[in-house]
Amino acid sequence: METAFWPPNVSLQQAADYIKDAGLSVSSSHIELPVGDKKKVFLDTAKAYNCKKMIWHGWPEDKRYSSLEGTKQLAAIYNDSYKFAKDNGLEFGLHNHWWEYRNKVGGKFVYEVLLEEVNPDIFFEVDTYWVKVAGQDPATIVGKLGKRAKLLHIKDGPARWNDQLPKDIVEPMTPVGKGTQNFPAIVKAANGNTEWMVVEMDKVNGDVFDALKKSYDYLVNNKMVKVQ
Amino acid sequence: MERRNFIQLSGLGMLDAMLPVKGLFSIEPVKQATLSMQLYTVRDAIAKDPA
Repeated sequence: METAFWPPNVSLQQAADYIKDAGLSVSSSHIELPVGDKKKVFLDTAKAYNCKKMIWHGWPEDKRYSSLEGTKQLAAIYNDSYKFAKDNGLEFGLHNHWWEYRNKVGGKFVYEVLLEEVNPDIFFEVDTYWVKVAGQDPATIVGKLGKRAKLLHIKDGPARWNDQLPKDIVEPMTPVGKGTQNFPAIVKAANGNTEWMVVEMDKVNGDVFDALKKSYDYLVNNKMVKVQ
Repeated sequence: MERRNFIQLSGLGMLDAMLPVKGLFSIEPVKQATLSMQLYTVRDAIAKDPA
């Protein structure tokens, strides 16, 4: 599984123990940027979960993404984060929301500027749902990023823009395969470059575990993923 | 499906063995990715019972 954040009453070690006791391992971890006093928790998290792939979750939208200069400033921070991760034997990646694929700065989309500005060893965890919400075709984007898109966030639903999104008010999502996403096209476009397909649902109608089971069935039945 | 059953079965890869019908438009990529799940998906359940 990919970790995010636990309730404040759960320590990092408790969380690691829960995961281990369930017989699971950690593919990747969403984390704050390793800047200032966040460096320690960055390293502690990687150690506790025995996880190498550390990913900047990217929430909320940074205002610097509204200009080319600001986007380049953020790219420099990501490069510093990558160096810190690498110096400690870890990988560093970026997870997106809609703004990277919706905002244009200097005539280019933000993600295009990031592709040019960040170290080529920084991997992208392409959230295919937010890419579609931004108005782009996820398969085209995944194909364009090629080997740099090591991880994909897989989620399905209406995937359309609405003005409430910046307030983190999202429409309910569906089990994978039941919404508007074209996952066969996305997997084909990935051309074997994807290491992990990470199912995520921000909000669902009904029981989330039933939705996860249906998502699992769809992805495994259609041979889009293997199960570790 | 109970949360614990889902997690345990998926972790062991047993859910696949329980599925009798294969997809109609299976695609077999050059190299299959491995399945993972973002824990944020089940944050409400975790808040009620982290273990």
